[in-house]
Amino acid sequence: MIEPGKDKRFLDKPENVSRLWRWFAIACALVAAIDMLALIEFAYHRHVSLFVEGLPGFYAIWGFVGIVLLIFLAKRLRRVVMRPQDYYDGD
Amino acid sequence: MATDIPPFVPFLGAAIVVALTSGLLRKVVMLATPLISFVMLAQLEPGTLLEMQILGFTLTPLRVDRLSLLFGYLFHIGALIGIVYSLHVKDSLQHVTALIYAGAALGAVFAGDLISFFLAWELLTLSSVFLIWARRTPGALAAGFRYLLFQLVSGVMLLAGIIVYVHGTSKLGLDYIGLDAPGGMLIMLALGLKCGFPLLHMWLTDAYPEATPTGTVFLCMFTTKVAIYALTRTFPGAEPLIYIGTAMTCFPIFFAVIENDLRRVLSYSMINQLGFMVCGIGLGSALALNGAVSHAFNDVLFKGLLFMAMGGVLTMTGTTRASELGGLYKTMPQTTVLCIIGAASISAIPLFSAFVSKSMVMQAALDEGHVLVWFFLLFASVGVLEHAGIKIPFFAFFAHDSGIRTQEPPLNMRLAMLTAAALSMAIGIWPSLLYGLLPFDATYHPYDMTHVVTQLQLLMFGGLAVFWMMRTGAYPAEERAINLDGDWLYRRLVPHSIRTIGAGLTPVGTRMRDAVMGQVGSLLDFLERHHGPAGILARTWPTGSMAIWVAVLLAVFVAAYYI
Repeated sequence: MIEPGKDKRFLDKPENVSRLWRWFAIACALVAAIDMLALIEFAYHRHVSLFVEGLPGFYAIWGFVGIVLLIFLAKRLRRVVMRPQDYYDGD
Repeated sequence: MATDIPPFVPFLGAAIVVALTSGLLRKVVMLATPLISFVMLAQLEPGTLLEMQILGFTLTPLRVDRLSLLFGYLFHIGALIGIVYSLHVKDSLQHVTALIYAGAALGAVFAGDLISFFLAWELLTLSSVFLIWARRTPGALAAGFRYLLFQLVSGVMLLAGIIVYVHGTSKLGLDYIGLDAPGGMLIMLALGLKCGFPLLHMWLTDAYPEATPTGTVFLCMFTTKVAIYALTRTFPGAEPLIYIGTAMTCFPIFFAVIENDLRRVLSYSMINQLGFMVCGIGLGSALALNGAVSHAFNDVLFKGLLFMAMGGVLTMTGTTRASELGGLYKTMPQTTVLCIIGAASISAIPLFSAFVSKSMVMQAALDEGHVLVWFFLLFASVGVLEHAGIKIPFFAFFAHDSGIRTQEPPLNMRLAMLTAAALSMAIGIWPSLLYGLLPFDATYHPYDMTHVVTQLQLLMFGGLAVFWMMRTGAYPAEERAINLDGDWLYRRLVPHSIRTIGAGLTPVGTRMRDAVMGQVGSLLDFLERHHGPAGILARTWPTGSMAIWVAVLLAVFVAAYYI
């Protein structure tokens, strides 16, 4: 065991984490932008089976909202089902 | 042909040899088994049948077609990876039972009739439970018994279903059965139990995280995939499977978000992945069935890889609880990278394996007009990213620095992980490697611009949401706690109810006992009066009186004779 905080690496510096976070946000914006290209039929043709699939940003919104909803509901679930670690011990 | 040997034979034979040998020789035998057996398998032509007459039944221990071959190849690859991964373990019990277990899985997949299949099904149960017990902790022992109980129930249901089916149809082949056939429902439930149908799934999330680090790798590869294989054969296109499968993809992801034990997170994730396969089988089109079996193929590799990564963490640090881990990338960089490849594969990131298999099921759902199902599957896909794609590698290797300083797991473990990672990426990059083996006639092209862009959007914005919630503190913290699931019913509710009812019945019982004991007491008094030392029947009578009575009897007899 080493004292937490010793042995600093790249990811231990908050400014680096913020930098990664920014790059990731920019990458997301780029991928969303490609979606917009399809709207104006530039570079590639978007073929979809379902109407909603063709809506700009549908997948992005579904992904983002899906995760937020999932985590929100899971936290609710935790209130019902969470028990101490030794709950079943002695049974 | 001399090579028409069912593939389970080399494995069961090797199990005996491994039990009798040790050291280097044992390792050589263990490694050679899947390799030699694979070479023999590669020579089998589709259409090969091996039949034998036993007790008036025609058994088919070897039936080779494209479906059984696909799973045959898969289980050989899985067995080889599992064996390499467990090579450093010095425990005969685990090595022997793992080989029997792999042999049983191959026996089931190549069985052409229901009796052979049932025998393999039971052998799967009996061999696999030892991989849980081999952990040799009280928790593992208890979980193993609960696991065994569930698996035996599955076996009994299967046997009952087979008896009804064979009696009703006079067919013995392991072919299409369908829900309308006599016994069909029983057979489906038996298969469903082993692939984690909702409310029959508890054995999986209960027992798999309790097995040994190496045992769980074998467990995650065989039992559930044999069930998927059998469902594909017997119930393709059964509509209830669509909805059961969809439920399986969705409910475990909520538990996976809040679960602390990372191997249990993977177990929930496993039910979620099996859900996609079950849903594909229910959809029943050629594309959907190809999606189901190819996803089973990929799942063995990437779920195996993730369980191996967590097994490595468990071996080196003694825990897989997210609340205790973090920062391991500093001392386990190779394991970290391999784990991330597994996480990327299961998340269906383009160029990784699930991208080319799960999407077939999704597309088939749309093609068959199940739009609502498709929305749920899409939601579950983002859920996979959250718990398997981000949570597993993040909490084990990054998150806050736990201060644990360890080292990489043994070389053989890393080699096994590397093999699984390489295969997952190879299938993702060159899907034709896998598509060429698929048994059903459907074409699918995963790599078109629309699919890649939409999938990237889905996953990146899902990831954005996760990291955003982590940064703002909305993400649920790792808690040193467990979560109740269906196993609460039989681990807490039923035993406690019995105890409570027992306690309630005690006064009644006491009164009843008092009443009965009072009756017994008066009976004893009665007997005492007549048979006791002073009782009339226990009195000692002089011998003389006996002689008088005999004389009287004689006199009466003589008198009667003369009259």
